[in-house]
Amino acid sequence: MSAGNPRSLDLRSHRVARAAYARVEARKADEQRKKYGALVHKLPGMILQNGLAQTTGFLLAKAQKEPHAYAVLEDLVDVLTRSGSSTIQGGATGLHQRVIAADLNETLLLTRRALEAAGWMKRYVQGVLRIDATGTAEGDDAA
Amino acid sequence: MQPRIFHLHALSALHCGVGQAADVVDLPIARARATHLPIVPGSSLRGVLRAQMEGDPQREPDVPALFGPREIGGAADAFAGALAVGDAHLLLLPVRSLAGIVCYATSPFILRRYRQDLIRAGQAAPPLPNEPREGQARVVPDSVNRQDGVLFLEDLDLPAQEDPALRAWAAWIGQAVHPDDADAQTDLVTRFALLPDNIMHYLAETATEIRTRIAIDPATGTVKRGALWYEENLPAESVLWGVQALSRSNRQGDDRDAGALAACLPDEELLQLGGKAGVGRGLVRLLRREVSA
Repeated sequence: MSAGNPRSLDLRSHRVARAAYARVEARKADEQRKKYGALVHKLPGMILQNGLAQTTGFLLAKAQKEPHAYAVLEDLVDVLTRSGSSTIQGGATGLHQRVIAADLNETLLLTRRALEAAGWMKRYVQGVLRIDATGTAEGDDAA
Repeated sequence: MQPRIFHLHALSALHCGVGQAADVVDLPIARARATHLPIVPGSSLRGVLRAQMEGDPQREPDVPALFGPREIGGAADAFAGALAVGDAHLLLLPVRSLAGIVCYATSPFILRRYRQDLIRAGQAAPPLPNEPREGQARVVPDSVNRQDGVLFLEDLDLPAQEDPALRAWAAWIGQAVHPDDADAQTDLVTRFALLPDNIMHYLAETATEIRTRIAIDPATGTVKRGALWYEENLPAESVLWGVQALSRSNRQGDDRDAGALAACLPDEELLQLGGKAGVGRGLVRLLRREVSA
């Protein structure tokens, strides 16, 4: 059963979870992990409130000066692709281009898939990185 | 058993939640398992209605017959309340619209279920309208939301076809929700739209109101550690429907039938439903008046 094979007979949620776990765990040693974690917490809310196109566009716009924004977008693309939810060519930029080129049905599907992926990333930021919504890591001083 | 349709009209954002969830929103609203469409659980409504009536000295004596005893000392004191309250289901979702500010959206799947409940409750109901084509909407001929033949909802631009047959449904719901207000009925009719089921489902998942909440640490005046969360609400102006059923009184010494007990229930009641009352959520109108066909 390959994690990237959408035809494998496992649950889609498990494929998404595996892909999200791997990406978030890989951020453990990242210097930007607190900012990354805080942004991942916001990601599902951003998609719901602003739509997927606005969200990916916003993260792309921030990416040049804020590497953690690019990291979030990259991980979202990776989770979507590895889980078999959606095949995205061209990385972070490719996802945004795909979203803004999508027709109605594809928009509905991509948005739901992105929400699912973002939801799992958020869980693992809480459970693996132990970073809360305000970007505070477990064990940090309350101040 | 005497079934009757009730409607809920949200006057403010409505948070009937399921507690903390492992989901994209920290505090999501309750949804039906099979359809994932928003619901207001019947238990929430029944409890709030009971509390409201208990707080009114004139209506308080009817409470045990309707809702059952507050405390049961033993088997001899136990009896079932005569009122059964079902879950309330989403009927109209207010959706942001470029023209006309807001559009009241529903879909064939929802109208079909609503109609079936109306018929079960002994009410006549308009015939089901034709389904919209894929990726298109149907609106009443004088829709205020249609601009250049298109309905602009959230991020969706849907070609919209005028359908005079929709007026009957819009007027029906308008009469149920605003029985004494002709202007409000007209307002609802002109903002009524029938969307394909897949688009309605998508909007019911992504066009609910997400509120970001924080808590301030009084010592520092900044956000408390970790205290930032997202709550989902049904937007104000949402309309839901459900079924209430009354039986005869099961209370010893009370021989009132369902018709007599129905007279104890209000035709219209202002309630606070669901959580987050302190921040203005959950003000709803409960409406029980039957619509004349």
